Amino acid sequence: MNCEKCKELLVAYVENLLPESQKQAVESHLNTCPPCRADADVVIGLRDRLAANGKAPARSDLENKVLNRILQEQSSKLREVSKSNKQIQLWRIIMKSRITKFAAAAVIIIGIILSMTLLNKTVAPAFGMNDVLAAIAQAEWMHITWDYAKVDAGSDLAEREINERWISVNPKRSITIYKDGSINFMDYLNDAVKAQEYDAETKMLTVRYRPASRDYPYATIVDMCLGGLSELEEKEGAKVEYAEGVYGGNSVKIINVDNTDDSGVHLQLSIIADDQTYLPICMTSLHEESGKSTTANAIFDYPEIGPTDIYQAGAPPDVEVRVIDYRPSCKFLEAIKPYRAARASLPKQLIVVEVANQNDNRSVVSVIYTSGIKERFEQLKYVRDDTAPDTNDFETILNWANSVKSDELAIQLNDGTTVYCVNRDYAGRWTSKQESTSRYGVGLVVAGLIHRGWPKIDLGKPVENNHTIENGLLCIETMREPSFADTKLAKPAGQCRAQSARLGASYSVSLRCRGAGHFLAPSDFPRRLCQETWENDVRKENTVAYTRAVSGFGALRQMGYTRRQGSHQIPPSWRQGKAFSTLEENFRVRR
Amino acid sequence: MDVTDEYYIERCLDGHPDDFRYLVRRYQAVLLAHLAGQLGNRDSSEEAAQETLVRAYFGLEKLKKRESFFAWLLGIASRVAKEQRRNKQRRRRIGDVLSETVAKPELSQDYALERAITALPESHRQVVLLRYYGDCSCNQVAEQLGMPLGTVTKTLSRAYAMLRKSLQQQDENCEVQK
Repeated sequence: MNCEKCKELLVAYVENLLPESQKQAVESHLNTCPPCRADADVVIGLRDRLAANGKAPARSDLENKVLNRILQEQSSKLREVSKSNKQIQLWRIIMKSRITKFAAAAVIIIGIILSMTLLNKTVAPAFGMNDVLAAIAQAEWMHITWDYAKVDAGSDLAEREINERWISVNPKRSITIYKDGSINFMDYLNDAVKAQEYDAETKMLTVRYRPASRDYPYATIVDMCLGGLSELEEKEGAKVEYAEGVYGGNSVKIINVDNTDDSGVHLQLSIIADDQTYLPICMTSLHEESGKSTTANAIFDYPEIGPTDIYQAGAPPDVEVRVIDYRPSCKFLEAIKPYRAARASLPKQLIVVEVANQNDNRSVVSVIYTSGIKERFEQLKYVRDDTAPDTNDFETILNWANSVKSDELAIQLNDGTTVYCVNRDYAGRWTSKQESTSRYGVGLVVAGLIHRGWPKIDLGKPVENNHTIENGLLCIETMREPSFADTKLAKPAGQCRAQSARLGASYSVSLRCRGAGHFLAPSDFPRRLCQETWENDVRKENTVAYTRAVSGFGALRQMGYTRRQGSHQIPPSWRQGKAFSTLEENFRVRR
Repeated sequence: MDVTDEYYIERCLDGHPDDFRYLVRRYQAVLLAHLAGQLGNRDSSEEAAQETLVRAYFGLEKLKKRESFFAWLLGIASRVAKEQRRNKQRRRRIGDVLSETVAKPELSQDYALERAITALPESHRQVVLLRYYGDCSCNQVAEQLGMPLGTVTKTLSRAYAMLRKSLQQQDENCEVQK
């Protein structure tokens, strides 16, 4: 080694980036060449100085300051919105959570649930809200009649007063009847959720079918409200008191809840429950916001039968009906049959192997395996370029990956909890890293890979996770990648979002409605470009979400879809929130 | 850097503002150093860092390339710094204060080094800041900036050379002043 070469490698040496042989060469040169040694000392000195200085900036409370400001600005924005959009505050809290949104009709139990969650952690009395909830779950039907004692004009509730609520265990159903005659009738079927909404103003009955991606037990419908409200409890800590008293000559349990949230909404609830059965008998609530208040009384009863359809609940029989069906069409289901069959024949353990040529967006091969236990993926997809093998055979794909010469490759192994990533750089060297749980989602079987001749990778320990099958698949999203505009649809037309984000290939349109897995049937989809992508969005505490979409363009191809000239652009209005309403408009509206 | 920026961004956009905390944690030191270089004093760089992060949070939706969050953040920071400098100048004009002191970075005790870093070209400064203030390994820097590892080491080499030179010059100036 000469001085020039040594100078060139000095920083890499100091940064400990050199392979052992070069490192030794530099070292031995430094030992024999005083000027270079001096040079190295200066660089090391500078490095230490930089490192010391880098650690010096006092960690001010920037983090909290920033978050406080964000929360402040956000809540002031929220308040502005709420002024124009008068909705009951609690409703908003519920609607904030995507899951609870789905069960909005079950909002009736707010009061009870609220106090229940509040209670769980505050005191541990012999009698608690859990008992009340358990009692409710035993009843066939719960029927609540509301009586508004005082509603200030302009208060949140003035717009839409609720008259009655019905909740049934079997069939799983929740019905809300508003004072103005509007009705919300939700049926939780085995494979779908049927939401019937009668709007008294427009005299229109809208029936929406959404595919249920999971089973909704009665308790779940109730639980879904808990998510939003436990947050309320954690952050705000309401006061809960228990008492015993006499009501209508009988001894009863009384639960009092008092809470004022950050935005100044004051809520006071008193629930009176039967001493023996623990079923709520009545409830009074006071809701105050910016000087306006609402006082309401609710009376509970537990009839054996309830409305069997929306007409029994009060909708006029001759009303105009439109049906919007988000369930997959038979045609589509037919088309993805082979994929499902293929999936069923896949190994039970290995979950995801993804091979992506990072230099060229067009060469992406994703092979998605599902776990026998943890079913994360709705289907199998592979997108390929001209050279990529047209197969889902793992060996073949590996061989292909190995045969891709000059390109950088990234192979990701995903066990649902941890993503193990192997990269091959331009020089053909393999490096590995563990990306922890992040977005992918459990347990890993690399042994199979290594057995098949893949370089040995130090994978570390898989992280425990608590995903369960109950969490199901919750979301669908569609996306297009304009960077493929110049290719035919036979080339990859859609990718998972994670991929597109990494490759920087522009935007995706997400139609999200978590809590309900929406399914877009391509036959009616505007522009005839869509894909079925299911996403599991399980985000539990300390567990990281699996956010991955799998697309089904192969299915579309099978159905004979081709790319239309100029149809690769997705209208800007589809983006963000508007996407959904546009879809709905364009979607199969049947009258 | 286990969990990616993209993940946290996604979480924030999904209505978990608290997760922005992790991004703040990840980049505050770099951001402060970057701003100190531009503004030359600690109080205003903290203020600017706060403003930058808040703006970034509310602008997350607009961020197209989520993997380049950091570069985007620095862009915002530079704009904020520019605005602050402009405001300061305006205030000065209004107050008619003529005695303008030379701005000195005072993020830490090593002023000379801070000044030298400030003087680096943007691309070099980013690498140095990420490496030493962001506590990233060279590999992480490469990933963060989307450049090959070789380029990072080369940039670092050049940055070292420049830093040495400017530190030397500063020393000489000091001696001349003495």
